[in-house]
Amino acid sequence: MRSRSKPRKLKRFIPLYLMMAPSLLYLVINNYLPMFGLVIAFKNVNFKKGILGSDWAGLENFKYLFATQDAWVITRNTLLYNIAFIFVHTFLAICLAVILSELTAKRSKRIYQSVTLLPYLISMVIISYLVNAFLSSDTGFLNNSVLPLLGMEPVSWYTDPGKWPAILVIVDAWKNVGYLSIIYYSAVLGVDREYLECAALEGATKMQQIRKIILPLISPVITIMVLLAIGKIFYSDFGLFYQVPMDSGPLYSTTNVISTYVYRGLMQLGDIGMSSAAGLYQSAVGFVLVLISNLIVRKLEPENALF
Amino acid sequence: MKRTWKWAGRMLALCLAAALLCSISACGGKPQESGAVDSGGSASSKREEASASQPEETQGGGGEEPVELVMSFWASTEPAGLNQVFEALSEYTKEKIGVTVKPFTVNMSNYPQQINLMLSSGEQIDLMCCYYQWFQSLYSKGHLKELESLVESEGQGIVDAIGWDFLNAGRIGTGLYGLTTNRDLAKEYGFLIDKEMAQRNNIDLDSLHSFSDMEAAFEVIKANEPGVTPVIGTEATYAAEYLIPGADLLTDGLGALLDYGEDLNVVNLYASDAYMEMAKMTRSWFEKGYISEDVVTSGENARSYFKAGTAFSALSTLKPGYAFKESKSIGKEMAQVGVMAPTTNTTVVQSIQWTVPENTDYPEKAMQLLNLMYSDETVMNLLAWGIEGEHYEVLESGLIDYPEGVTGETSGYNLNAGWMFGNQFISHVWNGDSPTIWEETDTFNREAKKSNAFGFSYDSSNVKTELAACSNVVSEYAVSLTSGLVDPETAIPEFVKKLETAGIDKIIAEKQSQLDAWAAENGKK
Repeated sequence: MRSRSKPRKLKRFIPLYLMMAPSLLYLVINNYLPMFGLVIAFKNVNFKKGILGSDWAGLENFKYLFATQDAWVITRNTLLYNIAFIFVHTFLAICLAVILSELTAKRSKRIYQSVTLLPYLISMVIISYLVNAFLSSDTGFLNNSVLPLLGMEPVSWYTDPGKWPAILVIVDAWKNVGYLSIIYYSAVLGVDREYLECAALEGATKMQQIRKIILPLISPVITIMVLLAIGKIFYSDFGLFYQVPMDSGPLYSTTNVISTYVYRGLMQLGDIGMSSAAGLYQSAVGFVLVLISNLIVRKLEPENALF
Repeated sequence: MKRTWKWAGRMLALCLAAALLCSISACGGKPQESGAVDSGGSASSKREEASASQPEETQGGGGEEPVELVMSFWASTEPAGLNQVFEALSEYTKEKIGVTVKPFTVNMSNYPQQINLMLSSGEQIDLMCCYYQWFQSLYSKGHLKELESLVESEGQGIVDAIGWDFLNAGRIGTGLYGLTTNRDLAKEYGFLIDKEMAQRNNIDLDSLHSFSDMEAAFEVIKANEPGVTPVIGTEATYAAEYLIPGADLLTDGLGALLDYGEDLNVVNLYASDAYMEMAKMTRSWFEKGYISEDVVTSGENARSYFKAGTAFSALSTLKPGYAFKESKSIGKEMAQVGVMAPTTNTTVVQSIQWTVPENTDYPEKAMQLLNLMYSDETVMNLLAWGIEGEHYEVLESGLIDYPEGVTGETSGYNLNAGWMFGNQFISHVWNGDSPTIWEETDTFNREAKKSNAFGFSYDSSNVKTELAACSNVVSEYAVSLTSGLVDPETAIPEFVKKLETAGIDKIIAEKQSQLDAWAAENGKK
């Protein structure tokens, strides 16, 4: 059957291939052609000589990423923050999605959805000033209204690095959870109501329904979303780490991540060889991490693995 | 299933092959590689021809078609009348040198990125204004054209206006890459002060000459004016310069000369006693409440605080007439108080320079236009002040002012940036400013104490790794130290140690060896 059907099969799929062609072309132009630029990471780029004509730099461009003790700090910060974000996002977004799906009044459902999505649409620069309104040492809401109420001393937020992991996780969750919950919400809607009704008839509590029915059924979506997030684990939201702490020097030990480090280091140099080196390093590590986590998923639950 | 994969494999191979082909041809079009025939390279090969045999056939059309040059500079907001002014300018330059000029402006913070992108992608820029550290980076990436022979053939007006004394500061190695504008070519560090607030508190501005005099004033303000921040620090990473007399930061402050570079000995500024002293002073200001933490972190600039009436003074670089200029944009009467003798060094002169990108098609035309900017009053006044009768009018005194019914807010051309274009000294003087302001500025320039290493600038390409690593360390500590947010006794040792692991010693050694070579060549010591 196989050999006989080959031409026919191909013919049958022509419309599909045609439909695929534009996006394939897009993929090639946008995602594969620029890969040629990777060569820049290994070059000492000189515009007089052109990209290919420039001298090879070997791994020289990567050196600055590992040159200081900061290398450890920025790698640790980037990884830990992203891991924290993945957990917090996933947990809160699923909670939100389940709660939204339980709402029956259509109007309020829409209002809640918009309200939770709104922060996602606000620029980080604006968010940084919203945060500043809370944290500013002389005029901030926390130091002026909240802390005195609790009988606590004012805190110098922008010079105390210990407080920032919590602040950044909260700000980030506030901004992004609404968006992620839309994806989980649609997954939760995909769960057949009959299962839940059945379970309710059998006397299962809401918590049991969520844990035993909804979560297992949406777990493929969770896996995909988490794997995608892991692929970006070496990237970070530049605005969150640069704008929100107001680029305050004393906070670097807990707010400096790879992206901000690269930015600060190259702001004056503007060396594209070195910045591509950073980009290559980030994506290579991200790629390896995706492969590893997919391997683990495949070991545990083969049908949820991406590939 | 298997088939599909095989097919997909073939498809992928095809795509990759196509990709490779495209990328090769795209690069083949770069000016160096001759014989590019594909469509991808046509734009650049046209450029090659054009530069080889311009200007006769650039437009193909009959006679001397004017050449359009793109001139880039920064502007915080693009003035509404910008194009109108450049049309007028083009009319004039078309007659004079067969050139029309198209402006390209971006705000200052995006300027380097934007221009970098444009240069990398080969968009047309024929002359551009450029500022200090960025000048170095453009040079090391090979973006800048060597200008010496062009200046000799087309730019006599530039030499006459500025003189080689200051022009030499635009050299890197032996090549000339930037032409400084004629403006204030020295710096006096000090404070900009809200005059009315000083008078209200009986502070005699004439009695303020030093940091300690200023401290006394801060104390008065702190006591009498609740809600006012006595001094706004500066966000500048190189703020150390504002506070340490005689420091020559040699472009980036990583390895600097102290005491006007008397001994040409490059040292680690941040490990020096002068830096410690300075940091202790600002720390004491911070502890006494003269500097506000909010001001440092909010990133607002001093002007907005002056406008709101919540600041008494701000650390500033001064020049003759600076307070007047600031009064105009703040809308309040300001005074200036210098606390350090005027000095100058290569970095100061290099802070605003005109450069010609390597891949311009019309280097001669660009130089001719620059020549006009330095020697032709009409061109200079257009760029600095706009169109006469529309954006300004000449008063009987010979000074200029807004025409009837026009104000700073409504004027279509309010760049107020004569210092950015060529020779400021041949432009009009604004009403209210001293009529002899340009003579005063010229004297200020000539009398400023020059760093011993004046004219030297270093090429950072051998220490890029260390520079990137050190820049990070500096941005972690410098602003907090110069604004007193952290205790210098603990922070500076930490800072210095981090700089050392980041390789500052290598930068210092590199600077020293380049400086020694330069000194030997120029007979300094």
